[in-house]
Amino acid sequence: MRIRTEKLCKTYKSRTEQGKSFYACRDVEITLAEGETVGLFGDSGSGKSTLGQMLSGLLKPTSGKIFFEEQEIRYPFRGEARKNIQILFQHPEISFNPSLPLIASLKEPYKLYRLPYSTDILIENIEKFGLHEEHLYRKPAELSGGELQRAALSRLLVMKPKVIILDEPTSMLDVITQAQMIQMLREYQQENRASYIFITHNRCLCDGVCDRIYIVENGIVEPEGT
Amino acid sequence: MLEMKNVSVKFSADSDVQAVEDVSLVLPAGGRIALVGETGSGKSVLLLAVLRLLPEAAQTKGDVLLDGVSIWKMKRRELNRLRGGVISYVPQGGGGSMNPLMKVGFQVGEPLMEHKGFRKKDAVAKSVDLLRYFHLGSEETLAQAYPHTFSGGMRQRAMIAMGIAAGARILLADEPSKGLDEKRVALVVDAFNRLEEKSILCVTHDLMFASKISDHICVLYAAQQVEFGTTEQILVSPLHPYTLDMIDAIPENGMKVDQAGFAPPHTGYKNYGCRYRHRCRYCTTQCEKMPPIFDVGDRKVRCWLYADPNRKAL
Repeated sequence: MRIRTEKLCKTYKSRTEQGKSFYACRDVEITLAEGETVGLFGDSGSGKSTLGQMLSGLLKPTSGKIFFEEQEIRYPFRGEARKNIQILFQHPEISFNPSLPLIASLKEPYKLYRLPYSTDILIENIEKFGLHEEHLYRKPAELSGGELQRAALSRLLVMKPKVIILDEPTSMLDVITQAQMIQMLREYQQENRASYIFITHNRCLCDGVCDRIYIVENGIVEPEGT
Repeated sequence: MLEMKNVSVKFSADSDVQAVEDVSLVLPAGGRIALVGETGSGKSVLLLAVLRLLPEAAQTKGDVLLDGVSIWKMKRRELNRLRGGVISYVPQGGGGSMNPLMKVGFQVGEPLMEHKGFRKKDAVAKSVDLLRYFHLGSEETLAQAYPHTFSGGMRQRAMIAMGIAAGARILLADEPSKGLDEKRVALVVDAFNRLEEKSILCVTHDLMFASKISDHICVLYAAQQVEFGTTEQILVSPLHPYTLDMIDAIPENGMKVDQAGFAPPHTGYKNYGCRYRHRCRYCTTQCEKMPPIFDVGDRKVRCWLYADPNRKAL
């Protein structure tokens, strides 16, 4: 099992009633196998993004356990877990530092993980995602949403992660760019037997992409069909 | 009736890049047109151009007529009376367009104070009725609340309420469904369907949303109009290869996509030919020349395939 959770909970303090708190996620038990795509489907505010952030190590769970390849991992993730679990966000424009040209953001994983780096390697990598050298020297505001989202995907695939949390990666994109993104993700999955957690509010997309679906409602996560 | 005549927009005089190129469109009274296209295709710019909301440096060509009177040649004072009073613009992403320091009730009622001479108290009272018209629920409380307490779908509907507050008969809406989940989109669709007598020009990248709110669809690609027809014609029998690719890529149709060529070309290239040609499955040598707009029955399409008038839809 790539990812498994045990009674994972997250509570937030209530803003309207002092001293009270509510569950954003309650006793979540999900599993993710190798090469599998699992969907988290629910309305906005149902807790699916909170769960995604806990699973990617961006948010500290209130209680419960997360296992990566049957080893318990704790917030903040370190070592293998940190490298192998990556997240792709909904808004591509805020995934990049707005004041730096794209190249500065894209070479970070190479430096961080001491991978062989040269501008040619980077260009070769982004060309697989339909981007060109000229894009590298532009700032995020000068690129379209689709281009930025593809750049974000190219950046996180450098680490060859085994698990990718996709937090509504296509809800800001037009249908053709969306289909291109899905196809690129499928290719990476076939080559590397990667596992995806696909968070979405689009039912048709969820059915088209996922092997299994969990329904998220008011912080309760249940496998579909129960 | 709102008429756009050969509208072209450039963002600066010395730039080659066309944001919008030679688009002509007629929005009849009570008509609903959806502008569909990918990011950067110029659809939002076209919408801004109608009310002269573009930055000062932008260069425009062509004209926009409201019942035969040019909006672009109007004096500042006339234009201000028009904005919000006759034509109103509902910007993208609702939330960011509201003033976070003012109560929603005041903001929704503001056009009434501006255009109809309402006093503040009456305008706020009227705004409660407007919010109720779109079923926001517990409207009295909401009118006294600040925008950050609203969800995305509520903000979008409050923005539509603001748009029609002073009796505007033409609504220009920019991506009203972006980032909303299906239930919220259904509420926005419902809000649009309540505006029976208004004309709507709506920008969207979501074909399914467009199919629910429009009677005509105009498809834009790389700053140009590539196809125009009724919603049913476009969805059932598309003429332009780009429209066909777009329909194939919808999740409901299995997300079929060809990866060759990701993005549209630079719109400043002279003599580039058809801008869709490097992605097109029907491309021939003829496509190295820019196709004109052909009339196919009552529809319009920019593709060499229709140089032969007897050619059927794809």
